[in-house]
Order: sequence, then structure tokens, then C-alpha cells
Amino acid sequence: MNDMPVFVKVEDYKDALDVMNMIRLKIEDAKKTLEKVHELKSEEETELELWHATIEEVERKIDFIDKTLSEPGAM
Amino acid sequence: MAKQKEAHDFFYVGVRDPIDVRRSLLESARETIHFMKRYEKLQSVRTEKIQMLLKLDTEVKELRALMVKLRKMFPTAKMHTTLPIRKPQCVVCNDSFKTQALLVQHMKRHEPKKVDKKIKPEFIEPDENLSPAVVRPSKNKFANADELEDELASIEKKLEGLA
Repeated sequence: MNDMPVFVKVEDYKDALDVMNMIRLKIEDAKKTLEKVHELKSEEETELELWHATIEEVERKIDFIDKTLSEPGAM
Repeated sequence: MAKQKEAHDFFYVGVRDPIDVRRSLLESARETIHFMKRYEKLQSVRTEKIQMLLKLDTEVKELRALMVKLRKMFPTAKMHTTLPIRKPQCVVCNDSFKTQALLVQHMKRHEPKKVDKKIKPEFIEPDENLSPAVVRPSKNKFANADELEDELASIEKKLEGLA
């Protein structure tokens, strides 16, 4: 059964080739879009890391201010 | 005279390193403003990402439609490709087994003997990126940006004065 030949009409065959070509192009498009999504995702992660660093820096400064205010200077 | 008297009634607390405290305060304010500016950027990145995901979704749907179209072009013969039978294999030692049950039994050997109960399950953050609220642009976006710029310029000026 597996060795039986399969025949497709010539006009259908041409259409099938066209569809195959379209599928190939669509796959390329999807791959490019997915790549762009990955880029944006890594950009987003970089931004979030920067936020984290900024928060830590601000926290450090606030700690310093808090420490200074809780130890008043002598007159 | 009354004002002078009132002024004498107050007590004051001295601040050590007042310039450093002031500088830290101004720098913290500046960092906070930078933070808020970066939020705008992050929001635009997220919006663009959502647009790209929607585009990807459309492309995949089109691809699926093309696949259906292609399948219809081929004759509906009752032919099934017989795929080679894949024996269950151990991922650790690469041994093959006749049945899945035998593999499961074998895998018990590779399991760690003691499981630490203190280990908590990994927390998976909810994906807020696909939330429709993120796409909605703020009305006062540009007004806020201008305000932030003004505030930042004022802080920078004060910091220059300190230096």
C-alpha cells in the first residue's frame, strides 16, 4: 500500500506549488516577527534591570539620609 | 517683638553633613524622575511587543489556512505513513525499554533519595504583558513628560549649585 504511486492533477499541482511558496514566505515572515518579539523582550528585561539598579541606588541614598537624620549633630 | 519671642520658643536639631544630605536628597529625586521617564519607554516597548505578538498570531492563522488549502489539493487516499516505533529511552543512561512502565520503574533508580522539603515551588510571574490595560495610552503622557523634564532641570541646577 505504501509503495502505491499518487497522482495529482497538473493544475492542482501548480496551485500546490504556489501554496507551498506562499507557506514558505509566511514562515519567513513569522520567523522575523518572532525574532522581533525576542528583541523587544530582551529590551524590556534590560529596562527592568536598570529599574532595579536605580531603586537600589535610591535606597542607598535614603539610608544615608535616614542615618544622618537619626544621629543629630552637636551644637 | 512677638515674632522674635515665638522664634525663641522653637528647638532646632542640627544635621550632620548638611550638604551631603541635601545632595543625596536631590540625587534621589533625580533618580526617581529618570525612573519615571524610563517607565514611558518601557510602556512603549511593551505596546510594540503586543503589536508584534498580534501580528505573529495573524501570520500563524494565515499559515494554518494555507496548510488546510494545501491539504485539500492532495487526493484523499487511505494511506498512512508508518512512523518508526520509538522505544522508551532513559534520558540519564540512554537504556532502551520495551514498555513505558519499565522505563518508569527504571527512572526510580535515578531519583534523588532525599527531597528537601524547604524548597519552595518556583514562583511564576503572571504575564501582565498581554493585559489590555497596558496598551491603553495615557492621556497626559506628553504633559507629564514636560513636567518631568522641568523638574529634572531644576534638580540638576540645584545640584550644580551644591558642587
